[in-house]
Amino acid sequence: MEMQDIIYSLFFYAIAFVLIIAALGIVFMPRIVYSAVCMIIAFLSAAGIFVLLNADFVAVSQVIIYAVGITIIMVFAIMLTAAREDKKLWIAVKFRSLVAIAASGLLFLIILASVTKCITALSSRAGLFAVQEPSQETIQRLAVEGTTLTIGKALLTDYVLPFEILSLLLLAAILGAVVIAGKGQEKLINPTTSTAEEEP
Amino acid sequence: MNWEEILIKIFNVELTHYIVLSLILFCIGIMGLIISRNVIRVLMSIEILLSAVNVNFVAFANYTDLSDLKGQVFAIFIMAVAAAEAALGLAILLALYRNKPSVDTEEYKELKG
Repeated sequence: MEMQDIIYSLFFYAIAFVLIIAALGIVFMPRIVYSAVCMIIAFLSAAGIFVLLNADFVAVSQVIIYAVGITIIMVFAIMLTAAREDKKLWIAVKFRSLVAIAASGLLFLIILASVTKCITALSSRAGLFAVQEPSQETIQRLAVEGTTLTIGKALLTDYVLPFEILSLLLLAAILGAVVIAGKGQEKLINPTTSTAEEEP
Repeated sequence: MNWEEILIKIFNVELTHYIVLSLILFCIGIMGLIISRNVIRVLMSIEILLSAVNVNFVAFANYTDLSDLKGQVFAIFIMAVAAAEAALGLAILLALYRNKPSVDTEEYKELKG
C-alpha cells in the first residue's frame, strides 16, 4: 500500500463526508434558504468526487449545470414563492415520515448487503462486467489530454441519436416551462378557486 | 480478520466504496422526497437522487471501461435531463402557486391521483 493510495482515500473520505453531511442538511435544515446553501455545497463536493474518478469534463459540467444553474432555479423558486411561515414547513410529523425513514433504511441495508456480498461474485464471472483498477497509463493519458475528446467522439458517433433527441427534449422543456408558467392562463384556472366562479 | 486487514480494506478505496456512497445519497434523497413538507425541498431531493445516480455511473465508468467512458456520457445525458426537469418543476410550482399561494405539500389536497 503506497502513500498515494492513502492520500487518495483520505481525499475520498473527506469529500464523501462533506457530501453526505450536506445532503442531510438539504433534507433537515429548518429554513429553505439554508437548504439551498447546503445544495451548493453538496453539488460542489459531488464535483470533487468526479475529479477523484478521473472525470474532469463531468466535474466541470456538474459545477456549471448543478451548482450554478439548478441552484439559481431553486433560489428563484424560493424567492417567487416567498414562503411566509417557512419555519412551520419543516418535515411532516406524520406516520408517513416514519414509514419513509424505515423504508429508506431498509433499502440501504438490502443494497449494502447485496453490494458487499455479491459484487465480488458478479465481477469474478467473466462477461458481466470486469472490475479492474484503472491502469496507470490510462490515468496518465487522461491527465494529459482530458476526457473531453472521448466524450465528444462518443456523443457525435455512437450516441448521436440520443444527443439529438436530448436537444429536442430541452427545447420542449423550455417551451413547456414558458407555457405553463406564463401569464394569460386565467381561463384555465381550476374550478375550486374564486376567479373561476366569477366567470359567467 | 485482524485489524490490519480491516484497515487496508477501509483505506483501499475501490468501486464498492463509491457504490455505498451513492447508495447513502439515494436513501437520503428518497427520505427527503417523502418526509419534507416544502415543495421546493422535494425538488431538491429529486436533484440529490439524480446526483447519486451520476456518482454511480461515473464510478462504474472509471472502474470498468476507462477507455470508452460510456458512463460519463450517460452522466452528461442525466445532467441535461435534470436541468429540463428542474425548469419544468419550477414552472409547475409557479402555476400551482398562482392558484393557491402556498408551498406546503399538505395543502395540495385537491391533486388527486
